[in-house]
Amino acid sequence: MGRGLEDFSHLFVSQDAKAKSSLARREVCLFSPFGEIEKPFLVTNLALALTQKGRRVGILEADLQFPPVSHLLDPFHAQLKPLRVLLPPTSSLLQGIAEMGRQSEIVLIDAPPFSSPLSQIILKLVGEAIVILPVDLLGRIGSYQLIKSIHLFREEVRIGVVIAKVCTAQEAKANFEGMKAVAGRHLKIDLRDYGFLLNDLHISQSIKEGRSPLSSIVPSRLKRAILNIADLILEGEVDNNFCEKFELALREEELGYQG
Amino acid sequence: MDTKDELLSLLIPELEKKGVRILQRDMGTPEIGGSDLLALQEGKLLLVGLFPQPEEVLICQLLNGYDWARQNLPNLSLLSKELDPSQLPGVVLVVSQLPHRIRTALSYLPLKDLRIYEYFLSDEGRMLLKEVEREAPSRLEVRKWRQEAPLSSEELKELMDLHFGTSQKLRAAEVRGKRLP
Repeated sequence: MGRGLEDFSHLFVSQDAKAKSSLARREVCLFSPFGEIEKPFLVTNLALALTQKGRRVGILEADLQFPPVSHLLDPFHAQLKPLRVLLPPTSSLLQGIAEMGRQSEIVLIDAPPFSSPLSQIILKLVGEAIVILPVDLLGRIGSYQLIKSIHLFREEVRIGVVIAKVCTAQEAKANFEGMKAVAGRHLKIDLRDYGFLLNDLHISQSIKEGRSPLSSIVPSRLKRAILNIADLILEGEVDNNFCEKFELALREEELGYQG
Repeated sequence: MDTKDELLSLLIPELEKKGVRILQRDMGTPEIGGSDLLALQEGKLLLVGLFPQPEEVLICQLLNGYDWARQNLPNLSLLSKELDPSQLPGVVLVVSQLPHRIRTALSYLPLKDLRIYEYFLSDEGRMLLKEVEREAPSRLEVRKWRQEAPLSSEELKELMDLHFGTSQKLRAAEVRGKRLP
Protein backbone atom coordinates (compact mmCIF):
# COMPACT_ATOMS: atom_id res chain seq x y z
CA MET A 1 0.00 0.00 0.00
CA GLY A 2 1.24 3.48 -0.72
CA ARG A 3 3.79 2.27 -3.24
CA GLY A 4 1.30 2.14 -6.08
CA LEU A 5 1.48 5.89 -6.42
CA GLU A 6 4.86 5.66 -8.08
CA ASP A 7 3.15 4.39 -11.21
CA PHE A 8 2.40 8.00 -11.98
CA SER A 9 6.01 8.85 -12.31
CA HIS A 10 7.21 9.58 -15.76
CA LEU A 11 9.98 11.76 -16.90
CA PHE A 12 9.27 14.28 -19.52
CA VAL A 13 12.12 15.65 -21.54
CA SER A 14 11.65 16.85 -25.08
CA GLN A 15 13.62 14.53 -27.29
CA ASP A 16 14.10 16.60 -30.39
CA ALA A 17 15.52 19.68 -28.77
CA LYS A 18 19.19 20.32 -29.15
CA ALA A 19 21.37 20.09 -26.11
CA LYS A 20 22.43 23.54 -24.98
CA SER A 21 24.58 22.93 -21.96
CA SER A 22 25.76 26.54 -21.84
CA LEU A 23 22.25 27.79 -21.04
CA ALA A 24 21.28 28.61 -17.52
CA ARG A 25 18.85 26.27 -15.78
CA ARG A 26 15.73 27.70 -14.32
CA GLU A 27 12.24 26.92 -13.19
CA VAL A 28 8.95 28.70 -13.42
CA CYS A 29 6.18 27.90 -11.00
CA LEU A 30 2.60 28.68 -12.03
CA PHE A 31 -0.05 29.49 -9.46
CA SER A 32 -3.68 30.40 -9.82
CA PRO A 33 -6.00 31.67 -7.11
CA PHE A 34 -8.96 29.35 -7.59
CA GLY A 35 -7.61 26.52 -9.75
CA GLU A 36 -8.40 28.27 -13.00
CA ILE A 37 -8.40 26.19 -16.17
CA GLU A 38 -5.80 28.58 -17.63
CA LYS A 39 -3.06 27.23 -15.37
CA PRO A 40 -2.75 23.64 -16.64
CA PHE A 41 -3.50 24.95 -20.13
CA LEU A 42 -0.62 27.38 -19.86
CA VAL A 43 1.80 24.87 -18.34
CA THR A 44 1.17 22.45 -21.19
CA ASN A 45 1.29 25.00 -23.96
CA LEU A 46 4.29 26.84 -22.59
CA ALA A 47 6.13 23.53 -22.51
CA LEU A 48 5.26 23.01 -26.15
CA ALA A 49 6.15 26.60 -27.09
CA LEU A 50 9.51 26.46 -25.30
CA THR A 51 10.23 23.08 -26.88
CA GLN A 52 9.48 24.59 -30.29
CA LYS A 53 11.99 27.29 -29.44
CA GLY A 54 14.63 24.61 -28.95
CA ARG A 55 14.67 24.43 -25.16
CA ARG A 56 14.68 21.23 -23.19
CA VAL A 57 11.70 21.48 -20.90
CA GLY A 58 10.54 19.43 -17.93
CA ILE A 59 7.09 19.55 -16.35
CA LEU A 60 6.44 18.90 -12.69
CA GLU A 61 2.74 18.30 -12.17
CA ALA A 62 2.04 18.98 -8.52
CA ASP A 63 -1.61 19.98 -8.77
CA LEU A 64 -4.09 17.15 -8.94
CA GLN A 65 -7.07 19.32 -9.78
CA PHE A 66 -8.86 18.66 -13.01
CA PRO A 67 -7.68 18.71 -15.73
CA PRO A 68 -4.27 17.17 -15.20
CA VAL A 69 -1.58 18.50 -17.46
CA SER A 70 -1.01 15.09 -18.98
CA HIS A 71 -4.59 15.05 -20.33
CA LEU A 72 -3.93 18.21 -22.29
CA LEU A 73 -1.01 16.85 -24.21
CA ASP A 74 -2.21 15.60 -27.54
CA PRO A 75 -0.87 12.47 -29.22
CA PHE A 76 1.43 14.59 -31.39
CA HIS A 77 3.43 15.32 -28.27
CA ALA A 78 3.55 11.85 -26.83
CA GLN A 79 7.14 12.44 -25.79
CA LEU A 80 5.99 15.13 -23.34
CA LYS A 81 5.32 13.28 -20.14
CA PRO A 82 4.91 15.32 -16.99
CA LEU A 83 6.33 14.05 -13.75
CA ARG A 84 3.54 13.92 -11.21
CA VAL A 85 4.62 14.87 -7.72
CA LEU A 86 2.88 13.37 -4.71
CA LEU A 87 3.68 13.15 -1.03
CA PRO A 88 5.19 11.05 0.41
CA PRO A 89 7.70 10.83 -2.43
CA THR A 90 8.53 7.48 -3.96
CA SER A 91 12.02 6.45 -5.03
CA SER A 92 11.07 6.54 -8.71
CA LEU A 93 9.76 10.08 -8.30
CA LEU A 94 13.03 11.18 -6.72
CA GLN A 95 14.95 9.54 -9.54
CA GLY A 96 12.70 11.26 -12.06
CA ILE A 97 13.31 14.67 -10.52
CA ALA A 98 17.07 14.12 -10.48
CA GLU A 99 16.97 13.05 -14.11
CA MET A 100 14.84 16.06 -15.02
CA GLY A 101 17.35 18.33 -13.30
CA ARG A 102 20.15 16.89 -15.40
CA GLN A 103 18.32 17.05 -18.71
CA SER A 104 16.05 20.09 -18.64
CA GLU A 105 16.92 23.72 -19.13
CA ILE A 106 13.55 24.96 -18.00
CA VAL A 107 11.28 23.23 -15.52
CA LEU A 108 7.64 24.30 -15.49
CA ILE A 109 5.82 23.59 -12.26
CA ASP A 110 2.06 23.27 -12.11
CA ALA A 111 1.79 24.38 -8.49
CA PRO A 112 -0.92 23.06 -6.16
CA PRO A 113 -3.03 25.47 -4.09
CA PHE A 114 -0.90 27.65 -1.84
CA SER A 115 -2.22 26.04 1.34
CA SER A 116 -0.96 22.56 0.43
CA PRO A 117 2.25 21.30 2.08
CA LEU A 118 3.74 20.50 -1.32
CA SER A 119 3.22 24.06 -2.49
CA GLN A 120 5.11 25.35 0.51
CA ILE A 121 8.02 22.97 -0.11
CA ILE A 122 8.17 24.20 -3.70
CA LEU A 123 7.98 27.85 -2.67
CA LYS A 124 10.94 27.46 -0.33
CA LEU A 125 13.11 26.52 -3.32
CA VAL A 126 11.65 28.19 -6.35
CA GLY A 127 13.16 31.37 -7.77
CA GLU A 128 10.22 32.60 -9.76
CA ALA A 129 6.45 32.34 -9.47
CA ILE A 130 3.88 33.33 -12.05
CA VAL A 131 0.38 34.03 -10.84
CA ILE A 132 -2.55 33.77 -13.22
CA LEU A 133 -4.66 36.87 -12.72
CA PRO A 134 -8.21 36.61 -14.03
CA VAL A 135 -9.73 40.06 -14.32
CA ASP A 136 -13.09 39.29 -12.75
CA LEU A 137 -13.47 40.83 -9.31
CA LEU A 138 -13.02 37.65 -7.28
CA GLY A 139 -10.13 36.49 -9.43
CA ARG A 140 -8.44 39.84 -9.01
CA ILE A 141 -8.78 39.80 -5.22
CA GLY A 142 -7.76 36.12 -5.04
CA SER A 143 -4.69 36.73 -7.20
CA TYR A 144 -3.60 39.68 -5.12
CA GLN A 145 -4.02 37.64 -1.98
CA LEU A 146 -1.96 34.88 -3.55
CA ILE A 147 0.77 37.35 -4.50
CA LYS A 148 0.75 38.71 -0.97
CA SER A 149 0.90 35.22 0.54
CA ILE A 150 3.81 34.17 -1.65
CA HIS A 151 5.65 37.37 -0.84
CA LEU A 152 5.06 37.01 2.90
CA PHE A 153 6.05 33.35 2.76
CA ARG A 154 9.35 34.06 1.04
CA GLU A 155 10.39 37.50 -0.06
CA GLU A 156 13.13 36.26 -2.42
CA VAL A 157 10.63 34.76 -4.89
CA ARG A 158 10.29 36.94 -7.97
CA ILE A 159 6.61 37.24 -8.77
CA GLY A 160 5.11 37.84 -12.17
CA VAL A 161 1.57 37.77 -13.49
CA VAL A 162 -0.20 36.55 -16.58
CA ILE A 163 -3.41 38.48 -17.02
CA ALA A 164 -6.25 36.14 -17.99
CA LYS A 165 -9.80 36.47 -19.30
CA VAL A 166 -9.21 39.84 -20.96
CA CYS A 167 -10.73 40.98 -24.26
CA THR A 168 -7.93 43.11 -25.63
CA ALA A 169 -4.20 43.68 -25.22
CA GLN A 170 -4.96 47.20 -23.95
CA GLU A 171 -7.18 45.83 -21.24
CA ALA A 172 -4.43 43.43 -20.21
CA LYS A 173 -1.90 46.25 -20.13
CA ALA A 174 -4.15 48.51 -18.04
CA ASN A 175 -4.87 45.67 -15.61
CA PHE A 176 -1.22 44.80 -15.24
CA GLU A 177 -0.24 48.42 -14.59
CA GLY A 178 -3.02 48.75 -12.02
CA MET A 179 -2.04 45.56 -10.19
CA LYS A 180 1.63 46.49 -10.35
CA ALA A 181 0.84 49.84 -8.72
CA VAL A 182 -1.21 48.24 -5.92
CA ALA A 183 1.46 45.57 -5.26
CA GLY A 184 4.22 48.18 -5.38
CA ARG A 185 2.42 50.44 -2.91
CA HIS A 186 1.36 47.85 -0.36
CA LEU A 187 3.84 45.00 -0.73
CA LYS A 188 6.86 46.93 -2.10
CA ILE A 189 7.37 44.42 -4.88
CA ASP A 190 8.03 44.92 -8.54
CA LEU A 191 5.62 42.64 -10.38
CA ARG A 192 6.87 41.25 -13.69
CA ASP A 193 4.69 41.28 -16.75
CA TYR A 194 4.34 37.85 -18.37
CA GLY A 195 1.78 38.79 -20.97
CA PHE A 196 -1.86 37.80 -21.12
CA LEU A 197 -4.38 35.19 -22.20
CA LEU A 198 -7.56 36.34 -23.87
CA ASN A 199 -10.99 35.28 -22.75
CA ASP A 200 -10.95 32.81 -25.56
CA LEU A 201 -13.35 29.95 -26.20
CA HIS A 202 -10.47 28.17 -27.87
CA ILE A 203 -8.93 27.51 -24.45
CA SER A 204 -11.82 25.37 -23.26
CA GLN A 205 -12.18 23.87 -26.72
CA SER A 206 -8.50 22.97 -26.75
CA ILE A 207 -8.82 21.32 -23.34
CA LYS A 208 -11.94 19.46 -24.38
CA GLU A 209 -10.29 18.14 -27.52
CA GLY A 210 -6.92 17.54 -25.86
CA ARG A 211 -5.20 19.43 -28.66
CA SER A 212 -2.88 22.35 -28.29
CA PRO A 213 -3.46 25.48 -30.39
CA LEU A 214 0.27 25.36 -31.10
CA SER A 215 -0.26 22.12 -33.06
CA SER A 216 -2.36 24.00 -35.59
CA ILE A 217 -0.72 25.75 -38.52
CA VAL A 218 -3.48 28.36 -38.56
CA PRO A 219 -2.31 31.57 -36.88
CA SER A 220 -4.50 32.64 -33.99
CA ARG A 221 -4.54 35.26 -31.26
CA LEU A 222 -4.31 32.51 -28.65
CA LYS A 223 -1.24 31.02 -30.29
CA ARG A 224 0.40 34.46 -30.47
CA ALA A 225 -0.37 35.09 -26.81
CA ILE A 226 1.21 31.79 -25.69
CA LEU A 227 4.34 32.37 -27.77
CA ASN A 228 4.56 35.88 -26.33
CA ILE A 229 4.47 34.51 -22.76
CA ALA A 230 7.16 31.96 -23.71
CA ASP A 231 9.34 34.79 -25.07
CA LEU A 232 8.87 36.81 -21.89
CA ILE A 233 9.87 33.79 -19.82
CA LEU A 234 13.00 33.31 -21.91
CA GLU A 235 13.99 36.94 -21.39
CA GLY A 236 14.72 36.43 -17.71
CA GLU A 237 17.35 33.69 -17.48
CA VAL A 238 18.19 32.84 -13.88
CA ASP A 239 20.45 29.99 -12.88
CA ASN A 240 18.75 28.09 -10.11
CA ASN A 241 19.25 24.38 -9.76
CA PHE A 242 15.74 23.73 -8.55
CA CYS A 243 15.45 20.01 -9.24
CA GLU A 244 18.53 19.18 -7.20
CA LYS A 245 17.22 21.18 -4.24
CA PHE A 246 13.72 19.80 -4.67
CA GLU A 247 14.96 16.23 -4.69
CA LEU A 248 16.88 16.84 -1.46
CA ALA A 249 13.86 18.48 0.17
CA LEU A 250 11.62 15.57 -0.79
CA ARG A 251 14.19 13.08 0.49
CA GLU A 252 14.08 14.88 3.83
CA GLU A 253 10.29 14.66 3.71
CA GLU A 254 10.49 10.95 2.98
CA LEU A 255 12.77 10.46 5.98
CA GLY A 256 10.26 12.37 8.06
CA TYR A 257 7.49 10.07 6.95
CA GLN A 258 9.51 7.00 7.73
CA GLY A 259 10.55 8.25 11.14
CA MET B 1 16.00 -16.30 23.84
CA ASP B 2 15.29 -14.77 20.43
CA THR B 3 13.46 -11.51 19.71
CA LYS B 4 10.04 -13.12 19.38
CA ASP B 5 10.34 -15.06 22.63
CA GLU B 6 11.54 -11.94 24.41
CA LEU B 7 8.64 -10.02 22.93
CA LEU B 8 6.14 -12.63 24.03
CA SER B 9 7.56 -12.62 27.55
CA LEU B 10 6.92 -8.89 27.64
CA LEU B 11 3.65 -8.88 25.82
CA ILE B 12 1.81 -11.64 27.65
CA PRO B 13 2.04 -10.02 31.13
CA GLU B 14 1.10 -6.69 29.55
CA LEU B 15 -2.01 -8.21 28.00
CA GLU B 16 -2.85 -10.20 31.10
CA LYS B 17 -2.86 -6.97 33.10
CA LYS B 18 -5.69 -5.85 30.83
CA GLY B 19 -7.75 -8.99 31.43
CA VAL B 20 -6.61 -10.85 28.35
CA ARG B 21 -6.27 -14.60 28.61
CA ILE B 22 -4.04 -16.50 26.18
CA LEU B 23 -5.94 -19.32 24.50
CA GLN B 24 -3.28 -20.79 22.28
CA ARG B 25 0.34 -20.10 21.35
CA ASP B 26 2.09 -20.81 18.03
CA MET B 27 -1.02 -21.21 15.98
CA GLY B 28 1.17 -21.51 12.91
CA THR B 29 -1.44 -20.00 10.64
CA PRO B 30 0.57 -18.96 7.58
CA GLU B 31 -1.78 -16.05 6.90
CA ILE B 32 -0.79 -13.96 9.85
CA GLY B 33 2.84 -14.87 10.29
CA GLY B 34 4.59 -17.70 12.07
CA SER B 35 4.37 -16.75 15.74
CA ASP B 36 0.99 -15.51 16.75
CA LEU B 37 -1.34 -15.97 19.63
CA LEU B 38 -5.02 -16.46 20.07
CA ALA B 39 -6.32 -14.69 23.12
CA LEU B 40 -9.61 -13.90 24.77
CA GLN B 41 -10.87 -10.71 26.37
CA GLU B 42 -14.40 -10.39 27.71
CA GLY B 43 -15.69 -13.04 25.33
CA LYS B 44 -13.97 -11.50 22.34
CA LEU B 45 -11.37 -13.37 20.33
CA LEU B 46 -8.07 -11.50 19.98
CA LEU B 47 -5.66 -12.25 17.20
CA VAL B 48 -2.10 -11.34 18.16
CA GLY B 49 0.52 -10.92 15.42
CA LEU B 50 4.22 -10.27 15.93
CA PHE B 51 6.01 -8.35 13.23
CA PRO B 52 9.57 -7.55 14.30
CA GLN B 53 10.31 -5.95 10.93
CA PRO B 54 7.07 -4.52 9.61
CA GLU B 55 6.70 -4.22 5.87
CA GLU B 56 3.74 -3.26 3.76
CA VAL B 57 2.80 -6.91 3.27
CA LEU B 58 1.79 -6.80 6.94
CA ILE B 59 -1.53 -5.25 5.92
CA CYS B 60 -2.40 -8.19 3.64
CA GLN B 61 -1.31 -10.68 6.26
CA LEU B 62 -3.38 -8.87 8.85
CA LEU B 63 -6.49 -8.93 6.67
CA ASN B 64 -5.98 -12.58 5.72
CA GLY B 65 -5.57 -13.51 9.36
CA TYR B 66 -8.65 -11.52 10.32
CA ASP B 67 -10.64 -13.20 7.57
CA TRP B 68 -9.43 -16.61 8.74
CA ALA B 69 -10.46 -15.82 12.33
CA ARG B 70 -13.89 -14.56 11.30
CA GLN B 71 -14.57 -17.57 9.10
CA ASN B 72 -13.53 -19.94 11.86
CA LEU B 73 -15.16 -18.21 14.81
CA PRO B 74 -17.75 -21.00 15.39
CA ASN B 75 -14.98 -23.63 15.43
CA LEU B 76 -12.66 -21.49 17.54
CA SER B 77 -15.40 -21.05 20.11
CA LEU B 78 -14.80 -24.73 20.96
CA LEU B 79 -11.45 -23.65 22.45
CA SER B 80 -13.20 -21.85 25.28
CA LYS B 81 -16.75 -21.66 26.48
CA GLU B 82 -16.26 -17.99 27.24
CA LEU B 83 -15.65 -17.16 23.59
CA ASP B 84 -18.67 -15.42 22.11
CA PRO B 85 -18.79 -16.15 18.36
CA SER B 86 -21.19 -13.26 17.78
CA GLN B 87 -18.46 -10.73 18.71
CA LEU B 88 -16.11 -9.63 15.96
CA PRO B 89 -12.48 -10.53 16.62
CA GLY B 90 -9.98 -7.91 17.74
CA VAL B 91 -6.40 -7.65 16.47
CA VAL B 92 -3.23 -6.86 18.39
CA LEU B 93 -0.16 -5.99 16.35
CA VAL B 94 3.29 -5.94 17.89
CA VAL B 95 5.85 -4.19 15.74
CA SER B 96 9.13 -2.39 15.98
CA GLN B 97 9.19 1.20 14.69
CA LEU B 98 6.13 1.23 12.51
CA PRO B 99 6.86 3.28 9.37
CA HIS B 100 4.59 6.28 8.85
CA ARG B 101 3.24 4.85 5.59
CA ILE B 102 2.07 1.60 7.19
CA ARG B 103 0.69 3.44 10.18
CA THR B 104 -1.33 5.71 7.91
CA ALA B 105 -2.56 2.73 5.89
CA LEU B 106 -3.60 0.91 9.06
CA SER B 107 -5.60 3.93 10.18
CA TYR B 108 -7.82 3.47 7.11
CA LEU B 109 -8.74 -0.13 7.96
CA PRO B 110 -12.32 -0.39 9.20
CA LEU B 111 -11.35 -2.76 12.02
CA LYS B 112 -13.11 -1.69 15.17
CA ASP B 113 -10.61 -3.20 17.60
CA LEU B 114 -7.05 -2.87 16.32
CA ARG B 115 -4.36 -2.29 18.94
CA ILE B 116 -0.79 -1.56 18.01
CA TYR B 117 2.16 -2.09 20.32
CA GLU B 118 5.61 -0.82 19.43
CA TYR B 119 8.66 -2.21 21.12
CA PHE B 120 12.01 -0.55 21.47
CA LEU B 121 15.24 -0.92 23.37
CA SER B 122 15.84 1.27 26.39
CA ASP B 123 19.19 2.93 27.06
CA GLU B 124 20.07 0.00 29.29
CA GLY B 125 19.37 -2.42 26.46
CA ARG B 126 16.05 -3.64 27.88
CA MET B 127 13.17 -4.30 25.57
CA LEU B 128 10.19 -2.05 26.28
CA LEU B 129 6.66 -2.23 24.96
CA LYS B 130 4.39 0.74 24.34
CA GLU B 131 0.83 0.93 23.03
CA VAL B 132 0.59 3.54 20.26
CA GLU B 133 -2.25 5.58 18.86
CA ARG B 134 -3.73 4.03 15.79
CA GLU B 135 -4.22 7.36 14.04
CA ALA B 136 -1.06 8.59 12.37
CA PRO B 137 -0.24 12.16 13.33
CA SER B 138 -0.20 14.66 10.51
CA ARG B 139 3.38 15.41 9.55
CA LEU B 140 3.00 18.80 8.02
CA GLU B 141 1.10 21.69 9.37
CA VAL B 142 -0.74 23.46 6.62
CA ARG B 143 -0.78 27.18 6.82
CA LYS B 144 -4.11 28.84 6.39
CA TRP B 145 -2.96 31.44 3.95
CA ARG B 146 -6.25 33.22 3.73
CA GLN B 147 -6.08 33.89 7.44
CA GLU B 148 -2.38 34.65 7.46
CA ALA B 149 -2.42 37.14 4.61
CA PRO B 150 -5.64 39.08 5.11
CA LEU B 151 -6.18 42.10 2.94
CA SER B 152 -6.41 45.52 4.52
CA SER B 153 -9.41 47.68 3.73
CA GLU B 154 -7.16 49.99 1.66
CA GLU B 155 -5.88 47.09 -0.44
CA LEU B 156 -9.41 45.86 -0.96
CA LYS B 157 -10.64 49.33 -1.91
CA GLU B 158 -7.82 49.79 -4.41
CA LEU B 159 -8.55 46.41 -5.97
CA MET B 160 -12.22 47.32 -6.27
CA ASP B 161 -11.30 50.66 -7.82
CA LEU B 162 -8.95 48.91 -10.18
CA HIS B 163 -11.67 46.51 -11.19
CA PHE B 164 -14.41 49.05 -11.74
CA GLY B 165 -12.01 51.64 -13.07
CA THR B 166 -10.13 49.72 -15.74
CA SER B 167 -11.75 46.61 -17.11
CA GLN B 168 -15.27 47.86 -16.85
CA LYS B 169 -14.51 51.22 -18.47
CA LEU B 170 -12.44 49.63 -21.21
CA ARG B 171 -15.12 47.07 -21.93
CA ALA B 172 -17.86 49.70 -21.91
CA ALA B 173 -15.81 51.82 -24.32
CA GLU B 174 -15.36 48.83 -26.57
CA VAL B 175 -19.07 48.08 -26.53
CA ARG B 176 -19.87 51.69 -27.45
CA GLY B 177 -17.45 51.39 -30.37
CA LYS B 178 -14.99 53.94 -29.08
CA ARG B 179 -11.34 53.59 -30.02
CA LEU B 180 -9.27 52.39 -27.13
CA PRO B 181 -6.24 54.44 -26.17
